[in-house]
Amino acid sequence: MDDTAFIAALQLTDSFFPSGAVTLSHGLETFLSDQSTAIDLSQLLHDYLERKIAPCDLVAYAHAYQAAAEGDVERLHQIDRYLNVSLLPQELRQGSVRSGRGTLETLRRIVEEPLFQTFLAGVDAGKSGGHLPICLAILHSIWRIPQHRGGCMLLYAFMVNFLSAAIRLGHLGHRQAQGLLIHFRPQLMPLVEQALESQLEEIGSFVPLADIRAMQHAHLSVRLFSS
Amino acid sequence: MTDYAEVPRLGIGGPVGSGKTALIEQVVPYLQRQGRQVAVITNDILTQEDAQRLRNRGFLSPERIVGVETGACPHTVIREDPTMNLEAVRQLEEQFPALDLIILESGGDNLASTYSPELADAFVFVIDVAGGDDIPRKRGLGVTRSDLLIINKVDLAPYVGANIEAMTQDAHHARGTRPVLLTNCKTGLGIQDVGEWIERELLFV
Ligand SMILES: Nc1nc2c(ncn2[C@@H]2O[C@H](COP(=O)(O)OP(=O)(O)O)[C@@H](O)[C@H]2O)c(=O)[nH]1
Ligand SMILES: [Mg+2]
Repeated sequence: MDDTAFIAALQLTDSFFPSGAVTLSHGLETFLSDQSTAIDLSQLLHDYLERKIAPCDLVAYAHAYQAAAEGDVERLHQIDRYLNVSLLPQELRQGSVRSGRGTLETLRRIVEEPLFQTFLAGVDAGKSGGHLPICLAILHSIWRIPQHRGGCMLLYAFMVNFLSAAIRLGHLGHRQAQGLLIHFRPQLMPLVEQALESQLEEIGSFVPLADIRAMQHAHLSVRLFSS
Repeated sequence: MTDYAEVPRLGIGGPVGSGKTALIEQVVPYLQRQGRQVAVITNDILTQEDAQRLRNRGFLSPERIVGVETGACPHTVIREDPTMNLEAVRQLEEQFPALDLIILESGGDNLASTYSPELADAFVFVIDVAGGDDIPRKRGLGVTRSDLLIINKVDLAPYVGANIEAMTQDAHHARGTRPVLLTNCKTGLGIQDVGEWIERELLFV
């Protein structure tokens, strides 16, 4: 990765980048609002990464990256729609679209590359929703961030978002969060490699409890997060 | 590029309980009487309480009131990452092409809070006499940078020993020529001035 691509990667992964992720907890808020069950946050994060983000978001990302590299916009919309029907809980689906769409809107008047603008026009026209992994794949491809690095960025951004939600929900200290990020480091690359080899049709997450928690979130009476 | 016209957006900020929702409850009917179509986005900090309260008032159809969660970061979502609020704006614009104004209510701010100029075209900061009459003297960004400063709950001044004149003077001192208005959002005192300011600043009447 050349230095310019590296700087682009920093910009896209920094929580300073406005993607709306600060409002998402991915169902964590429901888990933590249930005071009766003790939660092993590290185990939960592990399950999310291995059974949800990697086999779902990351597989969609990998195929979208390929399509973006080939300039195949129709295929991008197709993968986007495929991911849409693979995300079962409504709030997770909405969160993924809103932050993807938000990312597109942030860059609408800044990024002129035809691939980006054509995809954006397709989203405007309702061809697909604009899920975050698809939008990131397009940007990574345009800005020459290698696919496996981009995959790591996706997982890392998820972890930061998840742990920072846990901190804001009062269940984790700032040092513990850094400890977990270090702990999970070696586990990311194998997940990325596996996702890069998966067929699009293999997309699918299996974390039933997390999905149920994410669905229950819609009915929480006191909520800080939108998912 | 977008082909829909962008609707003017007014941001309302200020500490929790200063009267932001009460102001909306007063000023929206005023604007409606002037023939304006309005929608509201509330950034409720914990629940959909504000959104629900406005829906219950019945002056706006429920679809014109959208609640956006803040992830415990009420300042972030109006300032450095207003993505979800902008998404709500986009959806309202799509759904109601004839809107004249979108009002955003923040989830409750500290005195240093401001709206991103890309989220709100103008920004009102609401403080109240009961929150301490030294607030204008503290010169937070809400007080110094807002386009309009409202000192609300003037009816309570005698009960909390607040000196409204001194507050107003301090506010003018901190704000130069930017306007300061006094309101009682229980009775509607001062609301016409606020409404006229909005029409002048945002609707170019
Ligand atoms: N006495 C008095 N009470 C007010 C006034 N404006 C608002 N309130 C009350 O102050 C409380 C907080 O108002 P609210 O609009 O919910 O504040 P917000 O948190 O800024 O939206 C409510 O109980 C209102 O009825 C006012 O001008 N005078
Ligand atoms: Mg309120």
